[in-house]
Amino acid sequence: MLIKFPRGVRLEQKKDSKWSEQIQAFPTADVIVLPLPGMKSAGDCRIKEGGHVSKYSCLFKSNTGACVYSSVSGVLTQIKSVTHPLLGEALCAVIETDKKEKEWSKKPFSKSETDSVALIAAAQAAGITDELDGVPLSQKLEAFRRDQIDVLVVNALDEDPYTANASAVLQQSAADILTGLSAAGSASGAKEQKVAVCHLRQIQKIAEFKKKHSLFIKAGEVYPAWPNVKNKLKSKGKTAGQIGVQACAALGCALQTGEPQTSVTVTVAGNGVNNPNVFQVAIGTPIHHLLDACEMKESTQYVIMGSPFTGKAVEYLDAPVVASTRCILALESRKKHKNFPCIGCGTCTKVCPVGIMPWYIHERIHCQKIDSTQLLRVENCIHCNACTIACPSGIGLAEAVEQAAAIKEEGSDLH
Amino acid sequence: MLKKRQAPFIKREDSVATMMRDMIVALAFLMILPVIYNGFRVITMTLITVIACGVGEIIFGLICTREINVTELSSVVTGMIIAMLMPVNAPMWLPVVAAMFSVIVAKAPFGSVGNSPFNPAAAGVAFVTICWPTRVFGYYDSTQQAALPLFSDCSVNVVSSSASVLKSGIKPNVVPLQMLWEQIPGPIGATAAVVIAACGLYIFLKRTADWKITICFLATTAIYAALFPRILCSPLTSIKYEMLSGTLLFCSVFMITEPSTAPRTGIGRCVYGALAGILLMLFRSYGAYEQGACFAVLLMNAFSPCIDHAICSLKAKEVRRHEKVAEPEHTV
Repeated sequence: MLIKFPRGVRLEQKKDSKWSEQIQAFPTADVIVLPLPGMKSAGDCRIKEGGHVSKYSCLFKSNTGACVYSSVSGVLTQIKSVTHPLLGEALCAVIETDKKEKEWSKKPFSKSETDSVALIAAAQAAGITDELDGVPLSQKLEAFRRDQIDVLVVNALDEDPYTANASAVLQQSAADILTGLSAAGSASGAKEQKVAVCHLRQIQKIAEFKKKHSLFIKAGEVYPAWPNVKNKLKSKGKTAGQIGVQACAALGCALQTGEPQTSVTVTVAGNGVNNPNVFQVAIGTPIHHLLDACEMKESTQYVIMGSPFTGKAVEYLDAPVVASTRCILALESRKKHKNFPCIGCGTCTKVCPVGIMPWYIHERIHCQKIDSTQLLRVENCIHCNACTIACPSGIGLAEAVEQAAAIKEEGSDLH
Repeated sequence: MLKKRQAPFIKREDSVATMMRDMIVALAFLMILPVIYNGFRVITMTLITVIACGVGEIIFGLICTREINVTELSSVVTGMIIAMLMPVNAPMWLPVVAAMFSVIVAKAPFGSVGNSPFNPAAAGVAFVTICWPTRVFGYYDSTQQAALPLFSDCSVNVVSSSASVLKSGIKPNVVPLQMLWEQIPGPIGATAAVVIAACGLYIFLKRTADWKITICFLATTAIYAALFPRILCSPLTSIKYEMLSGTLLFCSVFMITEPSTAPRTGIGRCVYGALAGILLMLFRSYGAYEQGACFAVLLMNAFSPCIDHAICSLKAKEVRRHEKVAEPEHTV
């Protein structure tokens, strides 16, 4: 049997193991800007401007059934349009909190309803969004059921140098994860459920996971780790689908207590903050509160939301935290690398998880006449940016592959 | 308002400069044993060659009014490789001429690092080999125990290397074990086989060079040596002498693996290494000079884009075939 080495970039880890030991509960901000994705006009909001909202009260239910719940209690002062780095243009409810924490009545899930439809409905009713891609969990579970996947994998991979959320959530919400895992497994129709981790030491100290090591898949500290897990399972003839560990824990919590998802775990790190930390923070909290708590330096030039590999730069610090904000990265300045022409080291090919030859695509794209038949496998690109991260010459290979994919798609449309 | 930038926001620390730094570390390590055996002339020769490469870059930049950039350290690597391929008793102008030729003719006209189609060091050494073969192949006889001057020309007796003895069909008077690390006549950096192997391991582990090329190159030369021995001996002895003599091992680690002149596809690199091995052994058997490594490298450099093109065309054909097979399934 051919031994396959994991493909991907190995990066110097900059996180502290202490970060994941204790998630800090972040105090509620005075004003929350809660995004209401999918809402077309202010009139669609269930509570009008000036009205009172309780914690966990539903503010908006989209046509697809996805719900948005208030993470605080207070007065809804305004509904305004905000340009968010991860969501784009979205309507947001501005809530002035009263700190009374008056909760809306919660309805725990009936344990007798364990069929997939009821479980997917529960995920939908709890307003759970997957932190990996910002897609509602119910939609993902439905798609997995449709595709008849064999293994449902909970992604607890902290593969980037800064993020420690997954390890922190594994430690903090182990019981919820186990409940969520079996429920998500039943909902998706997967025969097996697994949790993907970078190292088994992530779970060694967790009492709930003792004697359950067979539940975990080790992916190693390479980026991107998920394609390696997927390929490992594929080599055993199994198809796999992934959900985020936070979404899984939120599902477990919702089933046990009826609590909807109104908070997320966020790592605040980078050389632009003095005290990096992992927080449990209410969705809608403006990120400047988190950065202030971590003592952001004045010399910070960039703030990034989402993964440092594929996230988006934040221009204004009043942007709110959303379900897919896994990491907030403050960077002082970027070490300037001099760019060179391709030296032909082949690193980009070695790190590409889907077998594209980015150097070749880059060469073809810069030819006078582009032949789309030579743009090999560009349609398989998963936009992980691993090629650009690894290139020692500093070439924007991911951009070239994206461009090539667009050209190839245009070409196939013309045909 | 903060600055806006596109993902990715982090980069791997490895860059062209760090790759060159790894090569310099490996080559510096390779210099230790020659310095112990031959004294500080080795260091002065290396320094002069490196300076000559830098001066060559500056001269070309000034003539062509082009940006001069030596920060990527490729000139240092070229200079060190050239010095390692010279005999320790060579006059200082010999590596300087090789360095000037390599930079002004084989490297700078094509642009900065990564653009040169030929290995600059190989081109420089090949040039001086053709012009002054007796100087390049006249090695200091270590049995003399003479102190070599730091800068001036040496007036020492010269002897032939084991590669030259093999070329004339005679078994060298050194045993293969001596060729591993002892002082034998040969180029400065190419005589200590064990040290070269250690340096190779270092640059392969650092992922600065691709081990596939070296392995294929060495495997082919070994097979050729076993099948067509140049002296009357067992195939194993022939392999030992061929592998440990001349610049074969040095070339397999430091020259043939240069990424910008080698093919970029994995299979292409294996083919490239194997063909270079055959070519080198053909040069050894039928060529005019005792050492043909630089010529083999240069010839293979010319072929490397063709190898890549052929491999990529084959891959494109395979992908198209798969697409054609998959298409009817989609339509059903």
